[in-house]
Amino acid sequence: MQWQLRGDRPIYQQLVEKLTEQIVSGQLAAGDKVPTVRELAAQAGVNPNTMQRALADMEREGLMHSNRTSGRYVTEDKEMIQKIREQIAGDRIAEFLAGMSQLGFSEQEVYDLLQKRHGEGNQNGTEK
Amino acid sequence: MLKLLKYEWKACARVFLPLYGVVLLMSVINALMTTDSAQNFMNGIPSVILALLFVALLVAVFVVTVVILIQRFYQNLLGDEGYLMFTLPVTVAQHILSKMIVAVAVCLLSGLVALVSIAIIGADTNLIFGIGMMLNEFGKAIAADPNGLGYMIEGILLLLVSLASGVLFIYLCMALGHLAKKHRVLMSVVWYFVLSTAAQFLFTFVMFGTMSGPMETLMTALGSALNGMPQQVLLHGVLIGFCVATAIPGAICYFVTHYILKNRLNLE
Amino acid sequence: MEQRNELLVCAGLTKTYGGTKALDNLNLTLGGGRFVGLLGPNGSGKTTLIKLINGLIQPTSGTVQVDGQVPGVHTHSVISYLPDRGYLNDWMRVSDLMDFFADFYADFDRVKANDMLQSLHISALDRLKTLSKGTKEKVQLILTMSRKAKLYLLDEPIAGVDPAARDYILNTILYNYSEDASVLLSTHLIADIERVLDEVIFLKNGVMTLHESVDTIREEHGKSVDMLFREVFAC
Repeated sequence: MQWQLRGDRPIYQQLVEKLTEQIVSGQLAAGDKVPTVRELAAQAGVNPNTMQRALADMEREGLMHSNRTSGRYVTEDKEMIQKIREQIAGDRIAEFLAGMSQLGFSEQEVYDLLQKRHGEGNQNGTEK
Repeated sequence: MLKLLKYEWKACARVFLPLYGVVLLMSVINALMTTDSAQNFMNGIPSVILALLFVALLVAVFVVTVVILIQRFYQNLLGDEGYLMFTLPVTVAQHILSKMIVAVAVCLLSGLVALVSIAIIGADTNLIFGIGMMLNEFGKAIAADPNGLGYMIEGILLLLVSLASGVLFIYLCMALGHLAKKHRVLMSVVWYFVLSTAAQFLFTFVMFGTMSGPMETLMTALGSALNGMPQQVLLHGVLIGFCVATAIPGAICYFVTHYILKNRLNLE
Repeated sequence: MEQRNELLVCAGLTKTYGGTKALDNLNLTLGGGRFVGLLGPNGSGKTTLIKLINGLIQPTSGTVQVDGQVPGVHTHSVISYLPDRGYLNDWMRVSDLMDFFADFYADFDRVKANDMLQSLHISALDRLKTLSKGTKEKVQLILTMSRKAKLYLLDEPIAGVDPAARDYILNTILYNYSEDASVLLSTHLIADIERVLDEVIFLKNGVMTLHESVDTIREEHGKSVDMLFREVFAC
């Protein structure tokens, strides 16, 4: 399975986002060894040079660090991962709210809708 | 170079070996048909047809020889296959020479097969015996005359050189035709006629030149000088002279072809 | 040797056919380890450039150097070339062809070739005559990519094959070229290959109008190379 990539932004940026997502979601857990550039590039279906650039970016941001002999690892700094996780969540929520306000929903209305949906979700859960 | 020869040979053998097989088979059948009973079978019509078929086959062998010789060069180097051949890490000289060597070998083989098949048809015990005697005598003659072996080698050399020159001449025509932007096959044919006419003209010119004018006196002088020489030396001289005389145009053809393929190659 | 990082150097490369310029004063330098797309509409000079680099046609003016040398025996030994047409003759088997490659190219990897043939369900014993056009193209590509060359020149490698095989072929190309080798791939199917490219070259009527990295193009123009291409070459 190739990763879904969009046309309008640099590929390496999108790779950075995907890798970050993998880390905050725990697919790549703190302290895990990261697959080699070639393996990751093959997974994503992109050029190894591009993947290399994305991984270098990840290192610069501190989410990964490489060890000269044993390869590249995900950071052990769980606090930092959690921070980024919340940051991404914040970004997504802002994005979502912006979309809803375009549809004419106030924040309160959105909140009510979410509550309602949450309740239904709970009901479905208990019925099962 | 050896590898090129190997593949060239494979490519040719694929066509020729079955053809040779058929020719030899036909000659054997024809030979069997010469018995009286076969001759009288159905008024001898089958045997006539077979004989005609055989002649047609012999002609076919020579036509195919020439066609393959042309086709191997044209398709393999100047056609689509050239995209593979000319990107191999080998020199242009190796390409031309390997093709030439195999072409000469095929020409010789075709000739040999034709001779053998004719011999088979005409074969009865007497003939085989006769040939054996002849070869025997021939061997003796060569052994007896210290120059005999020399003549034979020179004769074979002359045969090889003239075949090679002929092949190279055809290659040159294709290479020249290839220089044209369009109608490359047609241009090759045109070049063939132009060049062969030119060669004939040149030949006649030289011949006439030696018969008349100042050249004549030179030639008679040369002739009288040669007269004094022993006959053996003269014969050697003539044979080697012919070899050189056929090798020179061959070499010219080779170098021009080489230049074109190396510096003027333009595959479509 | 300062040539080290210059695998391919074209200087003032020009080729005219009759009166028309198929390639006009092209200056191009490619280093090692790059995957480069040579993009342009039909008749823009892509094939002409690739044939010039291979020495299959001669430049009207200008020079080509590969690995520091003009096209010849040495450059042929370091270039692995996939032409835009079939060069296969009918009478060989796939295995004969592999013998042929193994005989002439020291860098041919038979094991790799066999693996790829298997993945694409092509039997080495098949005669080329019996193969379909698309399968022949696959065979040629496999042979090309089974060499450990310095420069791969691929002329329209994916045009004639189905989309399913296209992905496999792209991956094959991507993961089979050696680390310091470069790939120059001509195509007009940009969307399919954009994600695997490092750099792109745009050719328009024989003139190089752009030579840039894919991500730089996306950063500067905010659009994919495919979209940029459609704009630049809009009719």
